[in-house]
Amino acid sequence: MDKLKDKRLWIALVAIVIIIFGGVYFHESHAVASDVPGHVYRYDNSSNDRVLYLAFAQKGDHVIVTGNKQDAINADKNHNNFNQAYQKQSKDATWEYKANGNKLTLAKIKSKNNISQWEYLGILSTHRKFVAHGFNYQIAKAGQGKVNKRMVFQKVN
Amino acid sequence: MNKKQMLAATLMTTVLAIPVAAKPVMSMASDFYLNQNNAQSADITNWVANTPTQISNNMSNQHIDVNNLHGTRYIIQWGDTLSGISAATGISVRKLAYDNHITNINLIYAGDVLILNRDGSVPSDFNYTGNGNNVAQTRVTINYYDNSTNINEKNVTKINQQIINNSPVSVKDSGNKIENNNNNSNNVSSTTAQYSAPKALSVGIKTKDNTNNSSNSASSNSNSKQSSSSSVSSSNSSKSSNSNDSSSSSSTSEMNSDDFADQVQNDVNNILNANINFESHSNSNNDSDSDQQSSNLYDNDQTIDMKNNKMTDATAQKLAQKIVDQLKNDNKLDDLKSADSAQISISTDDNGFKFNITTNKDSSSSSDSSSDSNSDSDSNSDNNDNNQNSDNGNNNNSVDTNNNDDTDDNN
Repeated sequence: MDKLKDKRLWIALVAIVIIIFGGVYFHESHAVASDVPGHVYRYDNSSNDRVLYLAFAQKGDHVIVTGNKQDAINADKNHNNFNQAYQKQSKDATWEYKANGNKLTLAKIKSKNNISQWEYLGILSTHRKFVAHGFNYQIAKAGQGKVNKRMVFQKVN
Repeated sequence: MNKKQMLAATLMTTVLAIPVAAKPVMSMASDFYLNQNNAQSADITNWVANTPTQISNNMSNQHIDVNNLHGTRYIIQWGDTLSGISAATGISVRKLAYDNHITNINLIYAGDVLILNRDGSVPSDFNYTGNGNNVAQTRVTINYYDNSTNINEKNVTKINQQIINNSPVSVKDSGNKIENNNNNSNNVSSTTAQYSAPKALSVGIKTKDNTNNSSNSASSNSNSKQSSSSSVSSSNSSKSSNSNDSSSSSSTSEMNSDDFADQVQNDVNNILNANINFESHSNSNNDSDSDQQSSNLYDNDQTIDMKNNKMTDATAQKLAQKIVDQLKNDNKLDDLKSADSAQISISTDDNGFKFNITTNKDSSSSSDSSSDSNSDSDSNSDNNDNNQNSDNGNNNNSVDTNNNDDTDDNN
């Protein structure tokens, strides 16, 4: 009788653990769309020699992509700052993003015939960072393909 | 040793020393791509402009003293812009362009060598186009492989299997064919040439595109900036290999008239190895500049006899070839190439197709470039000027005769 009770207890424990971890995983793999708006993220390239700051708009699909941390943080302070910075950035190229499920795509639009996109895949997002497990890319005048590499976007602000 | 022998010995030594002296620069530039895997080359950071501070750091890494620039060679890095290099060095964009024979300052290539020279002046009649804010392009096509993992056939992601289905971009145009949808249709395949580097070389990444390219083109490109005619064949091989990949899926499917006309325009560019700035048909809201003067190359639409007038990829290619042949015969090719932008209008006919070509010439383009040039006279104000004039660079497509196939990068 006791053995049966123990067995049931173990099964219940395992089920609870699976549910908890499964739930956390499910949440993290669907959270990027709600996590990024209105925040600044830092991304270090695969060689760790270049840094990028992404300031996502509070609403809409605009994103400021810059190598200058202060520019990104300033843009994130309020709506007006963001719009000004975005206008300035758009003189050279327009940046947009789309987050959906466990994917986030960044698009650089220089003209209708010159669009480059990076689609980050298998994203797990927490309140501190999001981690992608690779990306598809289509870069105008450069090429397209897929890279399987873990990349981390740290929340700055 | 008499004078004659001395002179002969000196001459021989010089001749022998030239390739040895030139080699380090070439190999450095070539190594730029050789030492990178796909993950590094395709990284998004490469397509975002470096700040002047970052460029200064890059220069420090190459042991360049920015206070002592007298013909110093700098290897252009990912994310570099000519305006950024100007701000980092204090040398005006105009001087950089002149010293490096760059006529389109929006078009520089990562891995190329840039001569940094404070000495000397720039002739007043030297003109260039662009604003210098475009990031350095790649000379290699970054396709196919993920080199950061072990490569075997199963891991290879081929170009026509690739698709971004979570795109924020809602425009559907002939250039990219990126749609804001979630289906898995292979809508990239017919335009893979758009994703080739303008001058693919065999200097770097393991891409199938690059395997056929000659190493000669690499050295000539890295050595002679912006004027590499020898790389044309490599560009061709890249494009043809791409189109082979896609031909199975797209050559037989019929397109709508706009896509077909755009495809013909792409094929004309491929055949001519040029990059004529063709306006897309799929976007009805083409921005028409009030300063532009439009004219048709022919008074009447020209008929091209073709048995098959189905609007497929294969037909587009044949039609493009025939259009090019006719333009050559009628001596109108130069008119097309010298246009700031153009559009080929195509309609079907019982016997095949009818076409005409509208060319646009920007009457203000010369003033754009000269105003840019003038603004660069003060090196310290370059960056500001360039930022203020950034819109001007968008219409400067036709000045650099050495870069006909690259002028679209202005946009």
